[in-house]
Amino acid sequence: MTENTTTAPAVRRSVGRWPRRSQPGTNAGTRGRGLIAGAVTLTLTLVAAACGGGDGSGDEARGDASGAVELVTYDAFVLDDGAAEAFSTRHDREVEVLAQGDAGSVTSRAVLAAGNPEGDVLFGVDTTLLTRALDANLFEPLPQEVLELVPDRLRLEGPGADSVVAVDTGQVCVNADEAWFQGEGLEVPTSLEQLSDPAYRGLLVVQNAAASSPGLAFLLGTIDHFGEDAWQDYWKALVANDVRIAADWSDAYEAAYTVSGGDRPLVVSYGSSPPAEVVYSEGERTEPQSTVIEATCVEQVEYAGVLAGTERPEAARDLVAFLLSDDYQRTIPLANFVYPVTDVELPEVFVDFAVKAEDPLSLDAEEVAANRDRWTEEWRAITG
Amino acid sequence: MMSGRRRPGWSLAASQVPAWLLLGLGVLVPLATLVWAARSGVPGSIESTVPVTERLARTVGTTLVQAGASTLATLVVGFPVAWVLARFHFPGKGLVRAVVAMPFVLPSVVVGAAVLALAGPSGPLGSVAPRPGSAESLALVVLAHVAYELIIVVAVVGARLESMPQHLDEAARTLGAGGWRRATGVALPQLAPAFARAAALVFLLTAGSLGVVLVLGGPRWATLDLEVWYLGTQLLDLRGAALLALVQAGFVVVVAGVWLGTSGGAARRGSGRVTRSAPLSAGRAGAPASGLRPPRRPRGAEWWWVAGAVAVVSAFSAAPFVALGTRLGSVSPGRFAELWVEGDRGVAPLGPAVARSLGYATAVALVCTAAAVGLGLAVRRGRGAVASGLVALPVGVSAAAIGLGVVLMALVGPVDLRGSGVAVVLVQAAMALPFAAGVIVPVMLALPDSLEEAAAMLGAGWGQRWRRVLWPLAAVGVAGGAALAAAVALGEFGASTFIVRGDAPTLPTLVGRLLARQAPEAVSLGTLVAALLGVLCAVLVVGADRLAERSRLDR
Repeated sequence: MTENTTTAPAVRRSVGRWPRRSQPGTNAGTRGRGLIAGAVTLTLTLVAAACGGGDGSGDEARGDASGAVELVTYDAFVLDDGAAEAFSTRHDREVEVLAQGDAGSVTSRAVLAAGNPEGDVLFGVDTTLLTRALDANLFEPLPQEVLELVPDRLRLEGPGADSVVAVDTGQVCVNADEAWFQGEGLEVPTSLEQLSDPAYRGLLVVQNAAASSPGLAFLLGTIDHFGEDAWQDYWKALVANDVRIAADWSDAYEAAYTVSGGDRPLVVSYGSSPPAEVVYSEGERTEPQSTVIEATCVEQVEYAGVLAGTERPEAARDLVAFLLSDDYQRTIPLANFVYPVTDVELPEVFVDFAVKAEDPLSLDAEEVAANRDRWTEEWRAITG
Repeated sequence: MMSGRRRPGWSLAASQVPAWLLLGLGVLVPLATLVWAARSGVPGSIESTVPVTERLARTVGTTLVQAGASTLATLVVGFPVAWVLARFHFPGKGLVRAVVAMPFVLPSVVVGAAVLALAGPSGPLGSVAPRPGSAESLALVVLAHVAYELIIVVAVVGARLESMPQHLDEAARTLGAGGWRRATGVALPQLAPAFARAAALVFLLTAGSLGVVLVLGGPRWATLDLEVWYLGTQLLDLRGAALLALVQAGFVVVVAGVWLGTSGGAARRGSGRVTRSAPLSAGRAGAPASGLRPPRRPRGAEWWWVAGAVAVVSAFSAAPFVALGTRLGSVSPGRFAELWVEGDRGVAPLGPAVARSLGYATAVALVCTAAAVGLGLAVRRGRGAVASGLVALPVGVSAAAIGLGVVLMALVGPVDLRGSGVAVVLVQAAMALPFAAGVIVPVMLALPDSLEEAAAMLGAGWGQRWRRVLWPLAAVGVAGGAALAAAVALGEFGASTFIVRGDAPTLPTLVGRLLARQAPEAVSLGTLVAALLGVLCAVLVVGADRLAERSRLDR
């Protein structure tokens, strides 16, 4: 982190060095020359510092800068305290979490900062955003031994595949507040189609697909289900049915969802959100109030990588490796309510209440890469 | 002033150098980079599949609707207030004027946050107001813009109302014209240029609004600025963003041309320049010239007009900020201390952010003062016409465009200033220069040659003359300009959002990030930070205004 400061030279002290003029008429022209000189010096200092500041660190021998290793991620990410402690004892360095909005915004910001990153490790790039990150050469290649920590089925191929690792998997699914539906005497919907049924008017809240990772996943799920030609009509019907577009997952789940005190009993969240209700109720609840609509589930994998240009490459690699260690993987279910990728034991509440659809919706990564931006643009035009 | 045309000398050219460097590096180079990027494309950029012309048409459409509605509303709300203030003297008039002026000097994200505190989901009007970002949120955007820009109508139209000669009206009355006929035939033609000028300025500022629209309206009411931000930071269509930014710059030049064209010579000489301090002091007219109708105490039913104006001002200019202020009071000291030192989950601690913001603001004040004093010296000698014309450029150019330009300097060019404090100071100083120059250049122009020449005759050397004669006269005004520059820098959002590092936020970038979300915790934390920022800016601007006022009195 280079925090440049500009120091003002002693402006008025330099006044005396300017030659005096004696003609009264021109005297006025010399007033404030000290200020001019000071101003010029100041500006030049500024410019020099600006030019110097830009490329100063590049040529030096690689060695980790001091300070905490920074994990750039999305707002909703939670780093388990125990895990953070395990890392700092093992590597003698703290982990600092830098939340930058939803995964989409995080990725975009990282691309704008490519080569001069705002942190050391990026976590939270998901299936839908991965190509965007890889195309921009966001990540440094990882050592083979780190790549091998990922189970075979989740290893990537192709360009850039050696620079990211899968850290967790989850399913984005519509959650329904079962208690609310019982209270209203309404059946919980079981399909995507029903969500646009007037009977469920004004009940659904989704995330902005242009910026939010679960929002985009849900959109892609609808495209997979309805097909390239029909998904627009489905979304027009959802809009007509008063769907609410929240900025991100927190806005949707923590603010708008009835279970959290909002006014919408249907929310796009995760298949593993119900266990979170039980855990966060701190004993008040023995089973979740929500149920998951399995037919709406879309598969999602989240990746991590070392940001190219980091000042702490060693520590960054250690952190990525740590994300795949048992010490971290074990905390994933109850900290972030998604599934670990390695073979650690799942907590009981998770086994009991998390839902994993057997045949989730999913789109081919290449198809997503080729069409994502057109889709989100069209989606934005529809939801306006 | 007379002696100035004689021997300009190299020093006058040199004294403009800081201003030129700021404008060049802080505005022109980033804009040139945008041109380059728009032509050649940007690596890592994603070509949006929506043709840029279509996006442009859509955004220009929403911009016209939004800015048109905001301008109309501001004129409609502002005119009666201007009329009452120009026509009557009443107790508390100064306070009413100050309340109207205050929002204009606050950062856009603070004004957005204030409206959110009033009409957001958890505000007192939350149950009746539309949700931020919804289709109906145009109402919120317009409400914020009225609060923001009301002073322009009050100052510009009010000044005209105050200076309208009485005798024309009386002549028309003598000739038998009725009230309506006098209003449309006599008053309106005289007021029309002032209306046009106020409307053009309000339109320009609301069309380029980023912070307010981002917080309240969302992409649905995207202005060109917001679309630049959205394309640049969310969709990553950097080339499209560059193109839109250039269109926006062209648009600003056209509207600014209209403004300058209708405002006559005064604006060109700099006294009517768009400065944040000008509206504060505008309308504090001195003794009215002969033939003018001086303000008088209202009589009888006229008090209703005064009451109405006060009510309008309370509703539009005061209520949102009262709501914002109460949010500040609702946080327990313990919680505040925790936020100050440790921050919140994923949110940087406030203490360092405040320190960082104030540090940048101080550096900007120094740089801007140097540049503006240098420019003032040149203008005093009849030079620097080009620089003083260009100095207004940053007022209109999209701040987001400048920020994007700086990022692109690294992505398509060789200069990587991303995240550097120097870049932040440079760009913020360029943004603040018009405001600093608006205060400092007139101060420099007003320095009397006679005193200095008398001192020279008495044998005072250069340094002595400056220290004993000129500086004491200029110091207060210059300090006012510096304080104003600091306030602008403190609230700068559009460019900073691109340049300021996420792990080292300034107050406005922190507010923008928190309020772009709608989760209750994020919003309440965002409004809290916004209130803090608003207080800091208000202190600086009131200080600047006091200093500028004192400097005028000294003369």
